[in-house]
Amino acid sequence: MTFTSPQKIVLRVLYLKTNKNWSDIISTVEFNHTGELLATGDKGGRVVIFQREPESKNEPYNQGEYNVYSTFQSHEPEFDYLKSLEIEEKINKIKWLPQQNAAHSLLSTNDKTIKLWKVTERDKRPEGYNLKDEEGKLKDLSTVTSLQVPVLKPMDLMVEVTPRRIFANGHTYHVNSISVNSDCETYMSADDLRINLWHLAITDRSFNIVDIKPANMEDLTEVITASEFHPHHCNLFVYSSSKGSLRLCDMRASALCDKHSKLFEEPEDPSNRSFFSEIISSVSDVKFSHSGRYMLTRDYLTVKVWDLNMETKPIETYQVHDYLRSKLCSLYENDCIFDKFECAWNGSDSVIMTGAYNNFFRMFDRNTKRDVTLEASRESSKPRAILKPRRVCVGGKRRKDDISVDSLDFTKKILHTAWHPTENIIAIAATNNLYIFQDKVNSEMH
Amino acid sequence: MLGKGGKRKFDEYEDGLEGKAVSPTDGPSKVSYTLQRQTIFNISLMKLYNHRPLTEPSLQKTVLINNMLRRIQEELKQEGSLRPVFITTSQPTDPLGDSFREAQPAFSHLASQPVHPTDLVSTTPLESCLTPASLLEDDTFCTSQTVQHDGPTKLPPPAVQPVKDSFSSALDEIEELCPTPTSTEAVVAATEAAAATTDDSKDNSSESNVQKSEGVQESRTSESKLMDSLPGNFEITTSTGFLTDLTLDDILFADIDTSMYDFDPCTSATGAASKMAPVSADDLLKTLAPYSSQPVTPNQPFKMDLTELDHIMEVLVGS
Repeated sequence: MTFTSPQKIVLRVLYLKTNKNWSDIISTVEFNHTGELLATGDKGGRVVIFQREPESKNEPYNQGEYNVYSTFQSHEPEFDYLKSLEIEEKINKIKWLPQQNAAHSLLSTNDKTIKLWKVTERDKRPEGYNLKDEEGKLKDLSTVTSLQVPVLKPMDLMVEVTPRRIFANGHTYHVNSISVNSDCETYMSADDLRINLWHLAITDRSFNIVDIKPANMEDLTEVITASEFHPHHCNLFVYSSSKGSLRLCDMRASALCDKHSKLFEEPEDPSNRSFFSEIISSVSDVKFSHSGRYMLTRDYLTVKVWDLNMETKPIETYQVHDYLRSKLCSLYENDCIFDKFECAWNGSDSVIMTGAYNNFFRMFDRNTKRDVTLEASRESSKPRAILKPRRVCVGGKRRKDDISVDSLDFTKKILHTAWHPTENIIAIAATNNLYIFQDKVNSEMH
Repeated sequence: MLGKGGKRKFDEYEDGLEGKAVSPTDGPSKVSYTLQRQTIFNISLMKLYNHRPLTEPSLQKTVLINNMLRRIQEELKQEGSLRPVFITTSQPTDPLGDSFREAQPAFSHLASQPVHPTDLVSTTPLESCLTPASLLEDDTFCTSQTVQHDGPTKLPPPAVQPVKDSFSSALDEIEELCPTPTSTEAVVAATEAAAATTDDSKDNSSESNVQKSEGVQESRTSESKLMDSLPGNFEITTSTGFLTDLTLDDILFADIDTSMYDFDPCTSATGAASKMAPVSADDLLKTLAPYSSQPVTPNQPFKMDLTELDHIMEVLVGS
């Protein structure tokens, strides 16, 4: 399905979900493979799953809204006694497993431990036991005169989430990515220096497939920032580094994939060289396209589309907020330069999306080369309102409603975004608020 | 006493440095380049050594900051390689300021020598080191670093409680310049062990503490000698920085007026939360505001009169 607004990209606010507790900053957002479920993880270690209501013809305006399906505490804070440091319970990543039966499964991870959760529904319960009464107390046997077969009766829907596996002690450094393999049996987890391969059923063993830790930690100059399995080829995966390079590895080549099959790196542009060149080249997110042919990477100022067949440079580069290039020193000072923005493809790989500051997020249409800046804020997001494109002015002519670079709010950053796998529905996490937007054109079809 | 510099117009450098390629060999921007480099160096140091999180600091961030420091250090080394030791051996309690002051005249000696491509500072007349902050990039956060321009390390130290441990490991860092493997290896060993989370780690870390305290004894005696060999004193290696917790400020800024400590952490107009210690760029702006005739906000270009700047420098230098 393509993003079909003929003239411009128009988004309608579907829905806004707010976490009442101010400290619950959303730290990850992920649709499942059908888009029916949307999971969010927060800084407090909780996971909230939203489910899309089936669209009904009776209520044309109830366009399949997402409502809370289940909430559970995934991770708790821990204490590392050896280093006298806390281990945050913040959920770094959630990845859904492909659904194989009635239950849904997802992996959630904090800095150190990955957990497999099974989400099941119960909407029937057996009634009419012979030995127990309705409350579960044993019956007086003398009152039992005949046998009956218990029957399943409907009950209120109950969603149960149980931890099925806990993959602990696999990582010395902070886990930044997890990715489920297309074989649906294995998954990988990556920390700053190592990538481990796990089997979903085995928790006491994992295989190290990438290790970039130098013999002498003093020589450390590069870390792993993100990694992902190829969507179709179960032997291929990519990982990105803090120096802006991507390495595609083939697990068939050797057990330890320290030697890459392909190295994707763009030479530095000499005219843009500055003290901060290395830092802004650090890749914060890498995502394969749905087709498996391309990769999308996000560094501090740009998003880039890479063709797997070309290692020398990306095929497309989009400026997210180039006006920050002259502010890098102060962004370095207040640590904003280390912010890790994510990026996302739409279902047909024709539009890419990423977040920015001031609660802005950007979308780039790869075919028309049009781009738009939109804002996720309460003021501009009354339900069913149409989002208005925003503009950041960098001196020169200033139009009405433009925001000047100096008045951008750098505490309002949109780091986590997700796109529905098939439809034009996006989920945007703005600090502790979750916004769900839907393409207007779609809604008019009903 | 450092002399007064000529006043330069803000307009010339409006574009700032970051938007363009700044080659160290450019004429007038050489000084700005040095100043900016020094600013970034100090910011990086502060980031590494003043942040005491409850959780483990991000390794990626630490590595990137370390790389930044190393790169600057490399550049400085290359520049410094042309100059043999000019500093005399008389070391007062504030070795840093004095050695830098002595180094300054040394720079002008080199003006006639063939210029190394990266040796830009040597051909810069003394006065230009006092260019007002407004010459730095148009970015106002950094312009507040004007206070430092009389010396690379006159940065008001943040209010970090000096820990005995960190003090000795800071001395070890300096000692590293005359490479002595003991202290750094001990530090690396301790962190390696901790990272591997083995039972031996406790032993290793206690070992390293012992070695550190030994390092204190020997480095105290050799400290003055080490300070001598550092023109400008900012070639302190920080290669183990991301694995140790140390404060260079204890040794380098012992004589600095600490009244800067007392300012509250700022909340700037952009709301950017600085994770650094209480004294941040905006704090400096605030403290300097009384000296400025204009109201200063972080979003406005920062302009000061040179005389006011001199006044501040006098206070800092303590002359």
